[in-house]
Amino acid sequence: MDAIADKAFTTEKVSKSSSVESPSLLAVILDTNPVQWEQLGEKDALKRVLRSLLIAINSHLALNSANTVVVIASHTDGAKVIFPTTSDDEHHRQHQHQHQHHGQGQQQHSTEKEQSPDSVSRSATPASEARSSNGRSFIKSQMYRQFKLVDDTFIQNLDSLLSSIPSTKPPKNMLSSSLSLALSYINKVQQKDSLVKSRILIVNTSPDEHLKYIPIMNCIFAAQKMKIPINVCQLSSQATFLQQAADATNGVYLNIDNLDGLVQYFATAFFIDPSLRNIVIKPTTRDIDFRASCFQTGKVVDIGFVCSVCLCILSEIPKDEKCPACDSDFDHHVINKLRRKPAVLGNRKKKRKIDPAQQQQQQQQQRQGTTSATPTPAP
Amino acid sequence: MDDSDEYISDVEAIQVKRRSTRKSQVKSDLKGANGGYSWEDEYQRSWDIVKEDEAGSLAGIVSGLIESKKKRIIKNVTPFQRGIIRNLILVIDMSSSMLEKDLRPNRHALTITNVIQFITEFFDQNPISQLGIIVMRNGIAQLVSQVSGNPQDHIDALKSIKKLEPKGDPSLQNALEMSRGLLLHVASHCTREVLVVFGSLLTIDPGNIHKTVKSLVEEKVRVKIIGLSAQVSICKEICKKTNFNDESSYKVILNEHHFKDLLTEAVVPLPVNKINKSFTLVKMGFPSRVSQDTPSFCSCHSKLTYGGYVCPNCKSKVCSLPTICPCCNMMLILSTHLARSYHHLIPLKNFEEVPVADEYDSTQCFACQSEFPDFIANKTTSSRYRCVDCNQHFCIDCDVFIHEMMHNCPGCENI
Repeated sequence: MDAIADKAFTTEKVSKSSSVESPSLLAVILDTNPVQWEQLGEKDALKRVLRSLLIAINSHLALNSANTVVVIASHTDGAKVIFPTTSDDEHHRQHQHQHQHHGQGQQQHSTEKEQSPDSVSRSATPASEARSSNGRSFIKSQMYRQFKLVDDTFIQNLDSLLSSIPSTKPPKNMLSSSLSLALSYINKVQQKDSLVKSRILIVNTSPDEHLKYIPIMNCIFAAQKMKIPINVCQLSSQATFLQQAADATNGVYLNIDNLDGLVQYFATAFFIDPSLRNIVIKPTTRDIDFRASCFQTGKVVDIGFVCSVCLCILSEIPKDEKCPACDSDFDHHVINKLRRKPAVLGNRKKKRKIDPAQQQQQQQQQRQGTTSATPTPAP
Repeated sequence: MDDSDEYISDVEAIQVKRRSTRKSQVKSDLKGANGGYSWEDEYQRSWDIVKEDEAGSLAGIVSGLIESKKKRIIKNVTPFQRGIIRNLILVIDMSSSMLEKDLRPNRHALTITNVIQFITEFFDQNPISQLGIIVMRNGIAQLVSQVSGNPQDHIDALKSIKKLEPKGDPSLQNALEMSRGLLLHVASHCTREVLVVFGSLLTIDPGNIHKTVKSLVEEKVRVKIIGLSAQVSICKEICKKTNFNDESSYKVILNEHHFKDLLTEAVVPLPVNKINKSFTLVKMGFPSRVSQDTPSFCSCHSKLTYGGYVCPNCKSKVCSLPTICPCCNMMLILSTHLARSYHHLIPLKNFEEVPVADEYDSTQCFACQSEFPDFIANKTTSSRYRCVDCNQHFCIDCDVFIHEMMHNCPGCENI
């Protein structure tokens, strides 16, 4: 009876047949911290990565005419959406460029020296229409209009971002902010059209920043809930958080040393359609370091003590029996129990003493050079 | 096709709005706007609200309506000490009263559907908690799903009882005694909770239920009851006694929507009461994942697998996390599981609505970059919500998303 009633009242929409290609949104988060790019030690690293990235974006757009892209730059002083831009931004940017033109003579030399030399063709300001400059040489006027539109704005905005005078504040890792922006954007798009599939691609060069642990984790859970895979293209040393992000959201994490074949990675590994992810063997790293870091000492631990109130992880039992994070007093009895050393060793010795025959046998075996196989529970 | 869909959703929107206004009225002592009971109020027709503005356009008022339907849940954001490691026994009424059709399709089917959603949500937000399910049917309590931390087991169990027809009378005492037994071994740093979905107005008990309640109080078991029909005195008493004289844990639903809301409320971990204080350190292992070329046996199912998580204490292999190591009895979790509960402890501050003004200093939402509607003509809302810390403006969609899904403010992260 229920079954009949159920059918009549189910309001869930019947999902459209999978043969119809649904549009997809690609959110690219590009790390633009100039210091980190410099530290990669390769010449023109950013430019080379950008070339590959633009090809990847273009191919994404080519797959379906309804496909869209959002590019977010994770800069030292904040995350910025560099594509698509709104009219307000446009206005602001033009204004900025005019301003720059006036003071170009003196400013350019100083800024150029301050920043890494391998950032995109800074000398060519977009207003000057210097298309032939090395940075945008591959954007041609006879290009497919959709590509040209995206690529032009992307490069121009990145250009202006990198040529802006760096703030005096110490540079920070803005990954959490960029991820938040990307997720909010995706959320908005998906609310308008629930059929849009989304995925995030992070091109990262910076190492982990432990201060941002909780915000990044929050973003990862949001992405997990929304079923958005986070793909990570890590160009420098390992980033544990991003590894966990890719793992939790069913994405791909790749640590790439050689920038030359980057377009291949973008076109294959990072472009697996979400619907195919269950079938395809993903080229991602399987062994993941899930160890936690102690809140007090920063030591990486695999066995830790967790405060039952605030869930902070401690590598050792605090001497004053108080949680350093939330100041709550711990139960004295339980602490004493935890402090107690395991009593297993003592028992074993006693057992061996009781059985002298076995001991002798063992000693004999040791003399012979063969180690006795002590019975251990097989895993 | 698309147009008709949109039309329906609009109608729904207005209905939702009306429902929510009714709900708030009922909450304030069942009084309507005119001071009388809400059912004595004049019927509010949704088409009466719609009025043209000076320019003869409806756009402003329509978007205002749409916005008001997107409810912003104003949460209490003072950080509490909460019992994060929870042990919850879910008791579901399966007596004949659950066959009533006042909830569509009937009480039983709706309860099961809602409870399945609740369980996914519960384990999503309380990843290191345990849950068990009991049904009250034919005067006895039956254990449907053992206390465990695996949501899929529970959901499968619930799906199997969905086909079962509710029968007989419920017995609160039997159910409570059984939950008491299940919660007996629970360590003192974990919470012991019982959540009852109760559709009947009676309970057939084998003994004195007050004695059971007394022992529940002694063992610090906290009972929360969601009534589906009307308030029952004994339920109120149980809740009051087990929650330190706080009656707010007994609620009766007003409609389907409210039922869902009440269940969602139960997802958030309870604040640790001052009387119920027992803070401890818990020893936990954070295993790393390994992949192997040759399969080996896992210690949880004794099956050959190609990889898994290795317990840092005894080096035995388990298939999934979080779990308790079958070999050395240590709790094995991922640090990400802990991180998932942090937003309960450090909640994000509520955004405040920007007061209506002639000119605003923002033209687009900081998070999603969509432009704010140009509401010069409409003076009812600014459509902007401001974070008190970073002063960035957000649209309603992002506000809801940020507070319900993401739990961190993009503006504050950007400083």
